[in-house]
Parts: sequence; C-alpha cells; structure tokens
Amino acid sequence: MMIRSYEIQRFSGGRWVLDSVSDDKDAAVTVAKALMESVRAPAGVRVMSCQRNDDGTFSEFTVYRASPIDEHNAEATSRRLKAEEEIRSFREQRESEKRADRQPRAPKQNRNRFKDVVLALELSVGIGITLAAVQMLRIALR
Amino acid sequence: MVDGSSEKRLVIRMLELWRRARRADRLPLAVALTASDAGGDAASLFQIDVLSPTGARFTHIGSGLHLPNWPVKPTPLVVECPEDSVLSLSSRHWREIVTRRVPVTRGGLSRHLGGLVLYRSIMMPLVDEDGRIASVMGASNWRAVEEMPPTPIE
Repeated sequence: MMIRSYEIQRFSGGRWVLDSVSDDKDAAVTVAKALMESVRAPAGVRVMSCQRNDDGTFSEFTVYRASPIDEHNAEATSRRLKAEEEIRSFREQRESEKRADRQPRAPKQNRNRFKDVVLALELSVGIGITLAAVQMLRIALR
Repeated sequence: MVDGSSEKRLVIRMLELWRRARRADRLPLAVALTASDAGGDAASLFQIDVLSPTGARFTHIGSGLHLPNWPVKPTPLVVECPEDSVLSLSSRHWREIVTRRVPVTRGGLSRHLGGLVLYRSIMMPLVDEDGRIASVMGASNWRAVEEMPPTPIE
C-alpha cells in the first residue's frame, strides 16, 4: 500500500531539519506558515510530500516553501512589475500627446512649404527684373 | 465539539506551546510541560507515559476526551481505549512519535461513538533528563459531519 506523509522542515544551522509530520497537505502548509510567523521563526521552511511506494521505492518533492528571501524576491518582483506598468502608462500617455500635437501641425507645415515656394518665386522674379534693368542700363550707356 | 476550522488552530496552539518549551534545539522535558500549561485547551489534552513497564498508559485525559463509562481507572493502558473514539484514533500511533522524535498530526473522517466526525489530532514527544522519550503529549478535537444516505444503484 502506498503511504504518503507531509514533512514540515525548517532551515536551521545551514541545513534542513525535520520539524514535524502531518498526514494532510493543507494541515502541513498551515503548520509551516504558523512556524514562519512564530517568535522563533527559522531562516526558511518547506513542506515535502514523501511517498513510499509498494515496491519499496521512496520519492519526495516540495509542495510549499517560504523564506524571508522568497518574500523579499516576491516583493522586489511586485515592485518591478509596478514600475514597468508606470513606465508603460507614461509612454502611452506621451505617445498619445505626441499624436495629438502632430495632427494640427500637419497643414501648417504644408502652408509653410507653400510660403517658401512663393518666396523663392518672388526672389527669382526680383532678381530677373534687376538683371534686366542692369542689362538695359548697360545698353543705354553704350 | 468544535466549530468549523478550529481543528487546525488547536494543533497550531499545541505546537507553539511545545516549541516554547524547547531548550534550543533539544526536545522539551516531560517535567517542564504539563496539561495545566495548555490553559483553555487542557480539556482536549491527553498524556501518555511511554516508559511504563506494563505498557504505554494514559497519565492524563482531558475532560473533553472522556467517554461514557471510560476511563474506569486513573491511568488506563492506551490499548484499553475504546476503538470507536477520537481518543483511540489520536493516541494509537504513539510509537511513531517515539521513533521519529518530532510532533505528528493526523486527522480525517472517522467514527466517534457511532457518529461520523472530522477530527484532527497531534502528538508531541517529551524527554527525560537522559534525552529518552519519556512521555507523549497529545491533543485532539473534532466536529460531527452529516452522513449522506447511500445513493441507490439503478
């Protein structure tokens, strides 16, 4: 018959030490959490599911783990996600502002370009007239 | 006997009591932890002397764990405990605590005085001056579970 139990282990003195045993996963996790919240909380706690099979083989795997480092990492991840979200929303806002600014300016640019063309024409006409006048004056003075 | 989710809370309280009685990483002394230390939980407590030459016997059974007409003597043997009871379910695996030297919690659905109950129990090792497991302190509580009539087979 397969026998399964849940071992609550605490990290103490640089190694995992058996703290208590439960026949129920939820009860084991509850005990592990309470251990981490206790006055003499260890550096870490984990719950291992231990199974002894009919053929005599033994297997175990972690079903719960908690340590101040894990909590710190979770907090850091949460902070990073929040910062990323803030940056994304700031970028989106800036992009939408840029788009809003670009739309009225577009015809203005066309108008400016048209003005430049008119100015160039005026200049070339002016230069042409001046050159014609100089040429006529030279002919008249001969 | 108990309301809702308090089964696990008793286990947590008992573990906390046991851990407070520890000396660094050593197991608590049997003389240092008694039923009176459990305050309001004393009624749910039992204690077993595992070094008794005549066999493991109860040295304390809380009033909440008493059964009709049992115990008839002050320190009954563990094997004498009526099987159809939460006390028997909670105490019969005391050897596991002596072997593993750590607290063990057990629970689940079972029968108590004929009725279906959901129970949770804990047993914790206590040592003598030589470091031998001298005593096991336990606690258990339960609540009645409504029995569903069997579904007829069509």
